[in-house]
Amino acid sequence: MDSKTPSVNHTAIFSALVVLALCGVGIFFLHLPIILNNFSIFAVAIVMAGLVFFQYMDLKSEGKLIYWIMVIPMVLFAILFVLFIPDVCHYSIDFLKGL
Amino acid sequence: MTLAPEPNIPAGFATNRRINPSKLGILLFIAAEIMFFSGLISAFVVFRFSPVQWPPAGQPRLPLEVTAVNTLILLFSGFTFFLTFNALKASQEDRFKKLLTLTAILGLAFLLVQGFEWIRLLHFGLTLHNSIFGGFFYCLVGVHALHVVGGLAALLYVLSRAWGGAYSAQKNLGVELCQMYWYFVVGLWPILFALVYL
Repeated sequence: MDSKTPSVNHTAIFSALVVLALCGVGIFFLHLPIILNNFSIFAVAIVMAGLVFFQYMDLKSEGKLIYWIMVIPMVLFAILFVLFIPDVCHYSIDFLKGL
Repeated sequence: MTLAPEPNIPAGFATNRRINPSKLGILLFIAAEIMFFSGLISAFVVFRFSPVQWPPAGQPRLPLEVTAVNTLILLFSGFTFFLTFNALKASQEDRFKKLLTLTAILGLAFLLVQGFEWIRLLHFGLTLHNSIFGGFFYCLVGVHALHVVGGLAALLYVLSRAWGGAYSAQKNLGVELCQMYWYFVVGLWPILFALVYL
């Protein structure tokens, strides 16, 4: 692509990564309900990974085809996650019944 | 596969769409690695997200604070690698070499702290075989550590070539490939840290 991509302040991104890392640890010490705790921490981690992959791994100057290479494992990863949701839900229902 | 431009394609079009084969190779490798870690993580998540007590009772407490600081060290190494590549593109050779050295030192520091904590955990009785918690811990964190070792080996190779004057603003593919792999290692760690330690 010839179009100029807007410059990204990578110092700000690193600062955001530090803040998110501290947030992740902070959430852990809040002692939230287990499911909320796990999903919050995991969501923060996904955002951190996304920032590193999409902002630091500088692929903006490459053709769009290069993104499709990364889309395939991401889609398969998502399918894998969807497939084990029934297992997690099964555990959770059993746990809630026991309360 | 020929690299010669096709005659009917307007000038500039073919080169814009062409992916550097080396970059394609490293991206395919990273894609395969993502699938590999997906399998490990998904197996772990079934245990981690179940309401069964996690970590199981009687297991040593994982070193959260030290590893959180270690996470920041690894994230900082990603930042310094970014600055390294910028310095190279700006033809700041001296700054490039120093920043690359700093990146390698940060990577090595991460690895040493991890190794030190592992030794402590082994002394506390957390082994690969004594529980599924230990098995998952050493498998996930250990496989990532192996990838850091691989990344560090590549980084040291690039570093030795950099001090030999092998790279310039125009000739920087080796640094870029190493950088891509390093970002994979850096980007993966927050997910593993959140899953295993938090």
